[in-house]
Amino acid sequence: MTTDNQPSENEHHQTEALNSLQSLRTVLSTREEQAFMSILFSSSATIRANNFGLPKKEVEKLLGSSNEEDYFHSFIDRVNQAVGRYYRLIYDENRDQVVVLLRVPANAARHTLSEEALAVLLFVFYQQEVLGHEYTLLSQLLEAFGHEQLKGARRIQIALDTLRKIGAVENHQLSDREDAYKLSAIGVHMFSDSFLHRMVEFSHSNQLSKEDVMKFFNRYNLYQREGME
Amino acid sequence: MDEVDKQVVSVFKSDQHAPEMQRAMRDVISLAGVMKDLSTEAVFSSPLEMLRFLRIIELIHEESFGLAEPIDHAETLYYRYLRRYSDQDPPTKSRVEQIVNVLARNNWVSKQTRQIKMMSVGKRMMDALTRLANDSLAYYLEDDIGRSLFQARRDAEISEAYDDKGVSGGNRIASMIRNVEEAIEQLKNRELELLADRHALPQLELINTLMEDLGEKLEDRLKQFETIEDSLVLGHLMQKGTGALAEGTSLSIGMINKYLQFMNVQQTPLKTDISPEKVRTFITKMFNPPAESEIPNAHQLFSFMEQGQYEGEQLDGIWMPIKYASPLSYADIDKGITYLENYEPTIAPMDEDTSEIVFEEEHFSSESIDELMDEASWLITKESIETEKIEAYLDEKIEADMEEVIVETGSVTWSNAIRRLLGISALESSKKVQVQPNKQAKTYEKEWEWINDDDRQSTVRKRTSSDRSIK
Repeated sequence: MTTDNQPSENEHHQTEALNSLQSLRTVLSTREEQAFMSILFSSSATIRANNFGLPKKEVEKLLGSSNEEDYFHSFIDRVNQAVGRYYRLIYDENRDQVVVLLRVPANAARHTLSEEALAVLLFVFYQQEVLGHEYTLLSQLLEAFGHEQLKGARRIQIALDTLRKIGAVENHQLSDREDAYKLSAIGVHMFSDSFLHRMVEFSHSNQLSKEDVMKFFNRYNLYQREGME
Repeated sequence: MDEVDKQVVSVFKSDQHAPEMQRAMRDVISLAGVMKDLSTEAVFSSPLEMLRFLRIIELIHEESFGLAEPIDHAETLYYRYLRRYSDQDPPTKSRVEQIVNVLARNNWVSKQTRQIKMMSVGKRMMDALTRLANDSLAYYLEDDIGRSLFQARRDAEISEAYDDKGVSGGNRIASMIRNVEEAIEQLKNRELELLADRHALPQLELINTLMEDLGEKLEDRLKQFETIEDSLVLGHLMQKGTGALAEGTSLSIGMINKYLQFMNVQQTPLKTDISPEKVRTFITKMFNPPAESEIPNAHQLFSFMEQGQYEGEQLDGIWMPIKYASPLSYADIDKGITYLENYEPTIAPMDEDTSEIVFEEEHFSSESIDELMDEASWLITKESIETEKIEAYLDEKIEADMEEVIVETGSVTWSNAIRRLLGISALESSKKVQVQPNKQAKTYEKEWEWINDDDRQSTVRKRTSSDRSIK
């Protein structure tokens, strides 16, 4: 029972996303523009199967600036300011990776990941971003989700595999034999503010302000924080 | 069910040769006859023609109940039609006449000089037709989830109306369960869509009422059958039915629960404190919430966001790492176009013989040519007849008895003898060997006999090149 104008809205959104790239020219120099294009290109499915994005070094080389932290972050900030409604450039320090994320509207979002994968990611996200755990153990996930249902362990494993493939979580090496997963920069940024807002509201059966929810997830002034680092 | 053993009347269970069966089938055939006469191409392309027909039979019908004046002839019908129905494009007089004729031909009505009267076949068939059309109309008035549910309820009602009165309405119970399952399937497919609709609540409630209503009906029906002996056969059906219905009910209740929960949240006052524990439990439950719970899974949450109650949230679904298809360069596109334009289907690769054919000159005398021809024809013979062993044997012995050659080069069997004899005759004919009579031939152990025992008294001798030149 979707309203009829939704597909067109969607299309509209798509074209806007493409148009917004035009506005980049006003905030970036030609060289920076090229660097951004290279980052986009490096996400190409055929060029790099698993590992998308570029390492920081590479981006700096493209920008023609080495070891100028401020300049690098200013570049990222400017891109995000210009096209932030549709794209988001993020730098993952641990993986040394500069990646572009694309915003997907709600009605298309359910075609991206299974509900189980999203729940697993949400759990990992909550543990590491809110509680500040360094990693999430597989046994913790099993404890939380898997013990009540048929083939729970298997389904969690499938969910984790998908998440690993898109680079949202990665295996964390522990000394003992326990499997552990760590959220990547991609995983940190995947959930939209609106989704988290709705989720927390549902969990409390109460209306909450978006700011409070963002604070709860340590998302306050996200870009500034990244820029400061 | 007082008479437990009583069988319901069903054409599928009655005796095929019973005269009643013949008559019942003839009724149906008359229906087919009417339909055939009416279903011209024109009717097919304008379905309303059928409606006009139904209206006309309704008029005849009414007369038969005494609700209307008697019908004198087709023209009366025509005027009555005009008066009753506001039809922009009413059937012509001749069309009405034609319909009456068709009905008369199939014995639905009898056409007398001053009266058109309905016959009993006609009454039953017209009843059935009108019911059929009304059923269809009711079916199409529902939306697609409603349709299956409607059909299921209809099944229950038909079962009530027919089976309980001793006339089979078909496999109603099975059909009903099937329809419930279909409705649930539909509901599942459309769940996310319904949740994304701001105004879906009335429909959700409607579905839920239908579901509950159906639940009662189904239970009722199943109870009826419990007493019958063949409830054993229906056992698994009943289980299936109850299962399907339980699933449907929990699904529809779950949808309403989620929807109401979502709406309630909108109306609560703003709170400021967030309890991590609540968030944690909620996330845990989101993984696989039971159908009837008020907790949505991630996809359902997205559906709620689609409603766009908060500014811009329908656009703010999720951030995904980009995967672009690798871009095409102009050169690649150009290459592709050139390829397509000049495309030639591949055929088997041709091995071009580049080396030139070199002719050599050689001189032969006419005898040597004969010899070469002999040689060639011998090689051909040799291809078809096995002679190597005989040749090898004679190379060694120069001369041997016929029987000796046959047995020594092969075996004592009969088939072998034939093959060897063929070989020897081939050798003889190409003048490689000479067969001469010989009185002192030895006898060998063998499985076969000569027809004429004298035949074995011969030797085979290898010809030398000197022999050949003499001949």
